[in-house]
Amino acid sequence: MPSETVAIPKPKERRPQRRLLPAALLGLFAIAAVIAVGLKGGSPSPSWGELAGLISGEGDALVRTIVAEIRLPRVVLGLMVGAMLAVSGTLMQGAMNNRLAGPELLGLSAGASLAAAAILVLRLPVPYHLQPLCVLAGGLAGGAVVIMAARIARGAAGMLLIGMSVTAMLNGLLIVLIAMGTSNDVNLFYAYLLGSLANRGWEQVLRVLPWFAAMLPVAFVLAKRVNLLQLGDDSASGLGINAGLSRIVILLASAMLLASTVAECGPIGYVSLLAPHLARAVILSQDARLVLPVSALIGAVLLALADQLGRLLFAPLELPVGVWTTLVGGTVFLLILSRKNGGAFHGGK
Amino acid sequence: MAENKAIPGIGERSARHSRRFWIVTGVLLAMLTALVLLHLAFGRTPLSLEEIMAALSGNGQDGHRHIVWNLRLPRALVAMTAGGLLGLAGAILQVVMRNPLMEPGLIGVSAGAVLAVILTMPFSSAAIPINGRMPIVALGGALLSIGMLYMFNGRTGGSGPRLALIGVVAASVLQAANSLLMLRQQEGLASILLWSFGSLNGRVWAHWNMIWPWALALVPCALLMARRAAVLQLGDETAVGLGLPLFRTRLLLLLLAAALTAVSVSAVGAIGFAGLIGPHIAAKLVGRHPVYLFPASVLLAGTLLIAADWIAGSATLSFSLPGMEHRVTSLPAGAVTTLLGAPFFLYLLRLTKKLI
Repeated sequence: MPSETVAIPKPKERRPQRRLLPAALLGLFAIAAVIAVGLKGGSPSPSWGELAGLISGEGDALVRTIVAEIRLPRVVLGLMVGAMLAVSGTLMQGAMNNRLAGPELLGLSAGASLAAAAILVLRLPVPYHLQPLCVLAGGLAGGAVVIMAARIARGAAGMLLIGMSVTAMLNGLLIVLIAMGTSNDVNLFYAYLLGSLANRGWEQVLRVLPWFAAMLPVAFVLAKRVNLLQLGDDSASGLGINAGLSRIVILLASAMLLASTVAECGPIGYVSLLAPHLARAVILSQDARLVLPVSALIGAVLLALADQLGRLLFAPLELPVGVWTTLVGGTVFLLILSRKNGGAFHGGK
Repeated sequence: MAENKAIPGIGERSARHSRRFWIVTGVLLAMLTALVLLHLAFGRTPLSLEEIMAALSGNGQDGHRHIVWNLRLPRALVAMTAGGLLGLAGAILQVVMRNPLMEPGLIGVSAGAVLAVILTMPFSSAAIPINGRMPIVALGGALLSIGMLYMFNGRTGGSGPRLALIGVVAASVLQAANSLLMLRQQEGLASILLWSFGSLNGRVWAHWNMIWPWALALVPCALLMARRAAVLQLGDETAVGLGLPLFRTRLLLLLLAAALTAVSVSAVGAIGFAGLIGPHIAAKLVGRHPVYLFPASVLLAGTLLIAADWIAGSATLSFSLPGMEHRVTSLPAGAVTTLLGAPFFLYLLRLTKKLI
């Protein structure tokens, strides 16, 4: 995990701040476009005039219900969850000084899924509104195991493999639960396990909202620390911060962001892994204070867009967005893996 | 090839090792027989040794004969064979890739085979089909994923944990594709899901008929290749220097590994980690020379899977899990091997530096 050699980041010729504004504007524009597509696409497909009319309270009641109660919350949830996933990934990659780190590879998603399965299949007496909290606790527990195991890891890939084997163990328990469940339970649970934004309403948005509102500012506050940790543990300690403690705080924030999304939407893979990569490529900087907002925007657009594609491309069939992102994101990740030879930001091999 | 000298990296091959190998083989065969008998004896209806013998020789009660002949014996045989094939595939992969972390399930070969089988499944069928075509279909998928892995690896020449990581991600992509296909098979979802994790529930003579010809053909082939694999283990330059056609040997061995995995997957599903634990314990017992390692891996992984199935079965019977009291099926053996194998993998990861 700690890089062997420490290099001072090379000053970039172009100042990244100058790229921030266009990137942000583009991101906001893309968000607006995704919202427009999300509200209009599907059946029934209202015209632009009708959509505008809906805002001022005119139009068909049915269409209004569909747009306001089904499509709008879904797009909003997609944007929020995407941003949270991306921020979570950025924090995690920074804290571990490992560009290949992603929550899906670190046991968090598996822990959360296992908790959800236990509630569903064993019919644990958990009140409905407390279930997301239990799922959250499962995700945090899975992440904690990996973080503790990571102390023995050598190098970026080793750490991910530890995460993988913890995930495999949790999946083993999951399959035990599936074997115990009735066929009906399994079908229900399977839909959750794939990660999807379908059938989510304002209720889910409201449940994610507190985490979104509370944790994103925290993430931005932590960005400075992330920058220091990216230099490697030795330089971070030299600069006067407690590297171990900072890392745990940052990872905790990252885990909370992620687990709250898993509780509502199921595990959605690879957005949190790829969004920071894209953000770094766009603004040509590794400064977490700049990468964080840009990757949040990119993550939001990516997830909401992927969801709309999954919803509209094969209509009336629908692809769960989690499958979609894993297929595309995993392939991209493989390409990154085979191209680059190291995982660390500075130094490494 | 120096036969009696210790060659660093591939393990010794001496009279002492040979003796040791035969002792280990004997012990393993005895264990295997004992486990098969245990497997036949325990279950919902416990049978005594005399009752089993009577049933096997065609005497005894009709009920007992049915249980032993039609339910428990094929299951034990399938478990033994499928486990052995997986262990051999794992040993070959570890030797060819020179990477102790390789395992057919881990790096997505099994997932590729599962993908191919699900792709060709009849629409909305609720059960996994059993026919002679299955291993061939599965082989296609396994070859595809092994080729993908080799391609990704070849470009960077990555080794050790890195290659394993590429395999793991490839496996996750293939699994996503599997889930996508499973969406249209809602009816048989539970059974396919269990199968994609590996289970021995309900394995009958049809499964045995499907895999034994393959096992009979593939295992001797692999054992014949063991000497060449040993040369391959010395490193590319040495192997070329010794006159080994490098590319062809590697291709042949990978092909064998894919075929072994595919056959095992088509019978019992994607059992995880059996191909990892088997060869490693075998290496501890008989050394890393493929001539000894390959057969020992077959026996060990076979023993392991039959033991895992037995553990899964007895766990289901002895602990009445909530909601499961009246179920007749037992836990999938794949869950047991994964729960045992993943910590073992962690342990291996700690040792990686020493092993590479």
